[in-house]
Amino acid sequence: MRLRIPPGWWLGGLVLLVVVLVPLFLFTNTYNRGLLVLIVIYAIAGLSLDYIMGEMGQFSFGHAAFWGFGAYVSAKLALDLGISPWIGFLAAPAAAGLVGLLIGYIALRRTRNLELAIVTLGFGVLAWTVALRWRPVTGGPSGLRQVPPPSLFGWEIRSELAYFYFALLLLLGIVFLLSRLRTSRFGRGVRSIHENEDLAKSIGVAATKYYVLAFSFACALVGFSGALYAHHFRFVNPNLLGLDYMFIFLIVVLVGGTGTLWGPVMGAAIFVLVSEWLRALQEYRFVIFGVVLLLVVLFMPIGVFPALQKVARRIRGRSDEDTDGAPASEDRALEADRAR
Amino acid sequence: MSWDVIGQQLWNGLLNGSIYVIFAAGLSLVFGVMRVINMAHGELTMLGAMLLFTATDLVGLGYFTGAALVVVVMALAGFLVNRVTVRPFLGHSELVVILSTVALSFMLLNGSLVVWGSGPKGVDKPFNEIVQVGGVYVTTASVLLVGVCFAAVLGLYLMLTFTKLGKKTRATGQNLLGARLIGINTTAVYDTTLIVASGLAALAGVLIVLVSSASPNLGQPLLITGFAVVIVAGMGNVAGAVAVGLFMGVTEALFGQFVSTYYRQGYLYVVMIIVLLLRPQGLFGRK
Repeated sequence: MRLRIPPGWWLGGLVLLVVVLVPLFLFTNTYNRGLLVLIVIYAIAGLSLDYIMGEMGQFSFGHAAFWGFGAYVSAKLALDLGISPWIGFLAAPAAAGLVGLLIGYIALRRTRNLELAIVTLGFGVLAWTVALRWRPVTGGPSGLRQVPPPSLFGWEIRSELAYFYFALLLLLGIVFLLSRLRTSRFGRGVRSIHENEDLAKSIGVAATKYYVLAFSFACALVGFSGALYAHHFRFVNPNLLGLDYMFIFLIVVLVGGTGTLWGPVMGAAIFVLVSEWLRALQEYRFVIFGVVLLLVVLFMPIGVFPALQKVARRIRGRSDEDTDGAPASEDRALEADRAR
Repeated sequence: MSWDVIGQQLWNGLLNGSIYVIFAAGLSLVFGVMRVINMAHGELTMLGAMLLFTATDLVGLGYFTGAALVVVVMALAGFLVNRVTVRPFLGHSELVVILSTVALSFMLLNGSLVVWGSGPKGVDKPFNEIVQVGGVYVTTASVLLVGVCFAAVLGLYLMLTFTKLGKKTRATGQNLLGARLIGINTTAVYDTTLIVASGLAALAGVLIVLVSSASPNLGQPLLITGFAVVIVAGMGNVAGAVAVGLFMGVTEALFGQFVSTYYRQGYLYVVMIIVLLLRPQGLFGRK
């Protein structure tokens, strides 16, 4: 029997190979290797946001708050109680997931789409305000420093390259987990609500319950990404919960392409590298960045990765109807049925 | 606690609330008519304030000439905002428009930082006597602010309710396809909606400098506050946004005085969350 590998994986695998090998030769100094770690961390955060945007078809504009929250939880545990970062890596997603469960329950009971976007934005800003003001616990505007790195059998993972490969391994695990989750009973249920919430409900999918759980899962994942950030860059501050990172994650997901696993990964790489290249423009770089962003959205509204997939399909001579046409939505209807 | 303090805070709250009102009214109008979240709305206000600084301080125009010019220019710029960052993206998911307006906000914010630097800039006020009313100190400039805000909101209300353009705008907001079917030029409606909203945003900007200073960083916090107002009022409900904007401004000032200055920013979101728990569609929203 021939093993069928989904088409996206070929491209993803190729990119991955480049990603694993290139750092050894091209990214030679510590600073540049730090960027690689950042790419992986943003990719995980992007994947989690894309679970909400691509799979649930919903918005969360408070996602950075969960990211920062995860970072604070793990950093606090390590700094105040001397708890190993490894436990922190578990505690951060657990805590972020629990808070996500609560907030998801409040927000998703009635609000959807753009309303949900603004509601979650409100929660995010509230969290940011608390992080900024609750000085005894969060360290106020300057945050917490000297967060310890994780260590493996007495060896601290301090070097950029080691941390990069460590995080990359986790990223791959997460992509695999997400690909399994998407086809699981739960994942198909979530997708069926995305396709048509009323229809999904009518066949017995508990829409709000599924959505709240999916939201909480995404929050846990982004909390994990935050913990990874805290233990590598070794500080946390209230900005991690703020709008800047929110926009970064949004850019990562939308530029990369929603609803595809490799999209956010690619989006993270594009974001970090492009903003780095623009650094030479000094204070003009964010202006140019805005222009670049607008052009990307204008010419590739579906995102870079899906656009590449389209090109790849065209080269192989297949029509786009494979994925975009009517049969696909029939599949989805069946999918919804099976998810019951 | 003395009544003077309460009176002073009520007045301060009214000032902030008036700004929230015209800011949120524009934000809500764009959302209600076009189903677009304009993430650049705060930067339009900021640009209004900064342009006024340039017009009065560098070019040497008077406050009123400068302010009128800035509002007109920014309103016309609203047409460009629609054509460049909104209209080309409307066919796609709602998120794409959010991203394109985020891109615009990036450009405006960072462009302004390059042009003006991050420091606050004071603008000469046309008159600035301090009058004592009862125990409350009131500057004449702030009276002007409140007056103009109310006039602008009244104007918006009259336009939406009685003019043909207003009726077309409401029809488009209620049902885009239906509006097109009966021959409304919805493209023109979208253009005017953003022209009006952008003009209102700039108006907020030129009024803010009457009570504080202009700075490239004033847009983002205002946008966040505007969202809280819009959510509590019910998305897209302009009249509700006016009532809630005033309410939020006043209660925020009282909260700052009597509960905690520290968590003043957080107060609005706590209100927002409580309202959401009790009435998810907002105070004035329909289910």
